Amino acid sequence: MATEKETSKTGSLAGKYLTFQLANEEYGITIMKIREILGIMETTMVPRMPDYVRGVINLRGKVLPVIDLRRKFGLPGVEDTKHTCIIVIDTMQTGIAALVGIIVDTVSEVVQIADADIDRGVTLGSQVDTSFILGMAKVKGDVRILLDIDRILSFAELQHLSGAS
Amino acid sequence: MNLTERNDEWRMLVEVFATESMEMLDEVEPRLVELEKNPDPAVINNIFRLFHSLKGGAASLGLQIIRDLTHEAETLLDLFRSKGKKIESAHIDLMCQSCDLTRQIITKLQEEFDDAEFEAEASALRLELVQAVMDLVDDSPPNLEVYPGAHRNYSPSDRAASEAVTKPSSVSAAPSKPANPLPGPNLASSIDELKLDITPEMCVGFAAEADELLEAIETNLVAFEKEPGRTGLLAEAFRAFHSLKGNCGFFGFVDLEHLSHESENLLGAMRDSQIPADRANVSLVLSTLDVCRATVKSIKASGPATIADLEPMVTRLKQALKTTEAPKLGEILIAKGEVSADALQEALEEQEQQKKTKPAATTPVKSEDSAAKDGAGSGKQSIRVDTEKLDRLIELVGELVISEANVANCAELRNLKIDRIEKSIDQLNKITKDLQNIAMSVRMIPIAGLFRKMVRPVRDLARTFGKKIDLQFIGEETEVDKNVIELVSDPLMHLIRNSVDHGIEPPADRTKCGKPEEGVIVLEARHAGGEVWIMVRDDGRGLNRDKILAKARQVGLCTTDGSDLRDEEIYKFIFEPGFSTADKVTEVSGRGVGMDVVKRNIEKLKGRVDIKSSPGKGSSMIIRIPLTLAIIEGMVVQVGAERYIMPTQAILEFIRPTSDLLASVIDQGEVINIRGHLIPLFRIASIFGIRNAITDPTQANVMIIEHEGKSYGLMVDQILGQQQTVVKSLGATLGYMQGIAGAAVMPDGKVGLILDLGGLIPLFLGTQM
Repeated sequence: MATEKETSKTGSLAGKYLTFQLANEEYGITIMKIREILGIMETTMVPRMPDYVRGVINLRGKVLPVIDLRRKFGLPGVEDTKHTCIIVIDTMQTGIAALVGIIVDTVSEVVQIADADIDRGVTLGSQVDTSFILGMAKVKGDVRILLDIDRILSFAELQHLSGAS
Repeated sequence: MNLTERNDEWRMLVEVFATESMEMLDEVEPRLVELEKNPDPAVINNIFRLFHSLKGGAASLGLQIIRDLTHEAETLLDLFRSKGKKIESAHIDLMCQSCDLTRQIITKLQEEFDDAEFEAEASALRLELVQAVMDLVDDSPPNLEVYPGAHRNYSPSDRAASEAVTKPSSVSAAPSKPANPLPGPNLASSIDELKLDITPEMCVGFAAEADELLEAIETNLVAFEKEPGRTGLLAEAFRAFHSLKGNCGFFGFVDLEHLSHESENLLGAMRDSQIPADRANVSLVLSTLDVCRATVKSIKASGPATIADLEPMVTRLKQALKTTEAPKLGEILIAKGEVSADALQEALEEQEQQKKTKPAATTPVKSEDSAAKDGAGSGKQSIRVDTEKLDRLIELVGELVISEANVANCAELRNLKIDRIEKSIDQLNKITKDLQNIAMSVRMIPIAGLFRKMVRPVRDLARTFGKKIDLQFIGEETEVDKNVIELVSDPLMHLIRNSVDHGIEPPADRTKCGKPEEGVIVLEARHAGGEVWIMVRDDGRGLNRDKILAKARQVGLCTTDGSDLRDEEIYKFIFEPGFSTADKVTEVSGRGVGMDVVKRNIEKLKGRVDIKSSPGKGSSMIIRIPLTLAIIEGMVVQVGAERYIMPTQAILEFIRPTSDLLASVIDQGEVINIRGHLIPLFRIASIFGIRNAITDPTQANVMIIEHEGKSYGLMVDQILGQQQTVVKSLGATLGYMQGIAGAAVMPDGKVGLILDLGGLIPLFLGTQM
């Protein structure tokens, strides 16, 4: 994981990003990681999980966990709206490919971002934990926060939680 | 012969020929078997005509291999038809083989319009046919008599074995005779020319096949040791080694090839009685087998294919072979007057030709064919499929079933009351169900392979302990989920070890008790309800109730004097960790580990082990596991807004408690009184943090469940009903969750979690401390 992160920090970050909104901020995830986008649906609660694990859903026979990104980022929770979406991510967890859903306020667009528009190593003085952030991108005058989604969805932490209890 | 360049018209004709020939073969086969019982000239005529038509058809299409093969079969038949020669069962076998091979060639033709790969195999068979004809013409006593009745000992499914019995006698100059082996370097050089790119997948395929072959060799050798008269078993082992050698050669595993070549030589010499087929030699081959197996394992793990101490092994094998200098096989036969010198010369020439034409690559094909025969008996065909693909298929079928249910239960659609839609939905439902059944059955494989794996350890153990043991199988054909078979292998081994070590008495003791010297261990498998039962039964001394009880009290497992316990309950103490009544610790058992592992592993499979025993007469251990891990029978319960599935087999009963049955002990939690027994009452809602669940037990339902011999009450809101569910893993992401065994997709498409008592009970107990 560490080396993967190293390369993504130093290599080119240019490419297409799916942007979405979370508590009035715009974020981006590389579309290479995105499997599909679902409307919000009822989840099955999984007991003894951290509160940001909303539960599990059935995606055409596959059972996958759904993460509430607001809770994960420590943002105030809101009621789901008709714009609330689940973005299904193709993630690598300790070498194993897995699907994970993340809940976001609303999906915005897919944009092409050039390397020159990306500012790395920004430290935010906000409530957002910066270790998840690849960099800040300027798109049409607005700022998008590019996320290192594998790092956000690091389930080593989750497994530790359930294993220890 | 490359047929692929032929034109479309030719292909069309081949297809027609193939269909017709298949029909003919279907007709020939039962008649051949009939012939064995009743050599009616009319039947012979009939078969002759069918072979003749086959030959004609093949010849007109330029399919030389089939033509030549059927020609020889026809010649042989003609001897019975017009010369009135007596038909031996070996002849029938030969013709059956010809039918099988023809069938294979035709199948291949249908698929790829190419029959070249069968050339070598066909010529070998042809040679046997020629030899049979010569034997009859020379009017020498058919040397098939060497193994009188041998193949009547085989069950009909054991085709490959019976073929092997006839082989050594009727082929006096088959191309692969070990008495005159191909020199190593030549073989190697011919392989270099044919070297292919070996991919890791091919290596895995090689390893799988090699494992099968090695297993076959082992089974045969062990069986031979028991019945030294059955030379056919050696022939079978010989054949398997030969195939292995061929495969190794093809893949360029020189060391392994060398070793199997030497073993093949030794086995061949034993088979032909050139050297004594005694224990020492059999053990030598078995030890070689172990080395081969280790090497194959290394290959499977992409490790080196070299054998470190190859030279000493080879020397030993060669040494054993030299004990009596082996004369050439042909010379023996001439000396015995079984073959004329002319016939020998002819056969040798043909053999020489074969060596030239036979490409190294044909050998793997041959072994694949024999593996298929072993597995499926006559006629049936099977293919190897990646298990991942199978899993995916089953997953998809599961999804289909759910989608189908969604459509079928769609009220809006049904309300339209359109006849055509109704009918289509019914049809869809039927097809989906059939598809599901088939998909589920695909994973099921016969348990025979697992049973056969036990043959060798039992033999070795019996020797170590100086006991005589006859291992018998019942219900080998019982089909069990492949995953279950893999997981049950270790526990079964433990149980068998236990039977050999503790169950069966030494021969002297047995004689004293008036039992036959040889103990019997029976491995039996059968389906019972939704379960498969695997039984290990021995006729040994049985379990000693008093000894177990005394030990249990000594280590504090049992606090009473045991009079209130049933025998079965006492026997179950042997599954406790560290429990052993053995007076001395032996090499294989007695340390008290093992039996608790058995129990743990079986419980992982959602199964259980039952023990029955009668002192002095023997004991049986019964492993009972669900047919498949993929599906469980579960009770769906509701707690708050959540639904959970409890595996049905753990549930004893449901009750709605009245307030006088309930009590709570301060700091100890709640208990419920079930017919005088106080059992702990747990609330799923509180341990899982579910809101809006019923909190008053008198309004709720209590599931009484059994776990590790103790009863517990679990409080749930409602019981929704029983349901078969496909178990899905929660995946790599969430990993192991205590108390949850997996997930299931419910009929409405949402996810329900399957409860795992093994994790749940400690969770409850932990919270109460």
